[in-house]
Amino acid sequence: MFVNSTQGESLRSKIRSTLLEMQTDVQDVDDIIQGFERKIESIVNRLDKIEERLKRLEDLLSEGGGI
Amino acid sequence: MVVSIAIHSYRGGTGKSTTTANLSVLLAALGRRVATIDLDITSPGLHVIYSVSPQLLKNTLNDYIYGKVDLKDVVLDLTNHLRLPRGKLYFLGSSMKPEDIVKVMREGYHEGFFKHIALALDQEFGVDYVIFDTHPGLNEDTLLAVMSSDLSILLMRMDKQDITGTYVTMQVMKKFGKVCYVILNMVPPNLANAPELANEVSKIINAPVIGVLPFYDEVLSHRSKGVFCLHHPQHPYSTKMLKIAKHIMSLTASQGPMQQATQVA
Repeated sequence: MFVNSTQGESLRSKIRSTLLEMQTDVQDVDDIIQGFERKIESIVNRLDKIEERLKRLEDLLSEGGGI
Repeated sequence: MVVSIAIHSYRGGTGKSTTTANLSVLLAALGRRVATIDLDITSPGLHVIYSVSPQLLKNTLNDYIYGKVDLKDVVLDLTNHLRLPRGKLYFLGSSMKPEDIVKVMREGYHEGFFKHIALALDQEFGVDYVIFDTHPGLNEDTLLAVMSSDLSILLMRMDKQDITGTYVTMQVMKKFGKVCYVILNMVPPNLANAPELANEVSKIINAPVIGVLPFYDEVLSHRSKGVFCLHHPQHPYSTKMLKIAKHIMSLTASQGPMQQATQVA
């Protein structure tokens, strides 16, 4: 039988007590994630600009009949 | 010596089962002997991806946990069923009966179960890898599976809810001195091409990113009708998954079974 038993539950107890004692600062987590989101946003914006430039370049090439 | 791998995520819907199924098949195709265990006991679904009918899934992991059957009665050899050219793929499915699901959820696993089953599969079937497809979140039984595994892989979507949850999960892992690896899944295609993405995620989550998988309509359209990599071996998703499988092999080959310490930091 491999169901939970009260004997030898050292890892389970550790998991339980660790989770209960964590005292996570939700505001701190939120600030960190917000900072990360801003970085991702700037990556997306930079990629969008590159894509825009490429598109413009393609349009110019097609107007000029290619290289 | 067997290496156990837990595929985990903070939130549901991150593609754990799809990743588990594809990764297992690719490791087998690379000549390894793999056993996949559906530990998502509240919503098992791996058998669907493997096209295992209820008739074929006569005995489940739940029966084994309660000592009703032997290990050999639960293990399905899917190597021929999936027409794998090399290696071996074994599967241990979970029961879909509500009464069985509730029973395991209520009583929980014995903490030695995960290490026991990996060793038993090694002894009886000579497997190289045991892959656990876990239940998402931070519940005790799931964390037991993750902490008991040699290697933990967290799947994350580039979604604010998921990033926050993965960050918190990683704080828990850190407390246990557990090294985790991250796979970014279903990443918006434009973002997936950013070379600095993996590095930025790695910095915030404080764990190595071992793969970036863009969102593909084809994977979604496949709708779990078989293992995607077997049906579309040339698709970019399959080539990226193959790269991840090889990466995992190199990680486990260089370090051997890590048996990472699970001491509270």
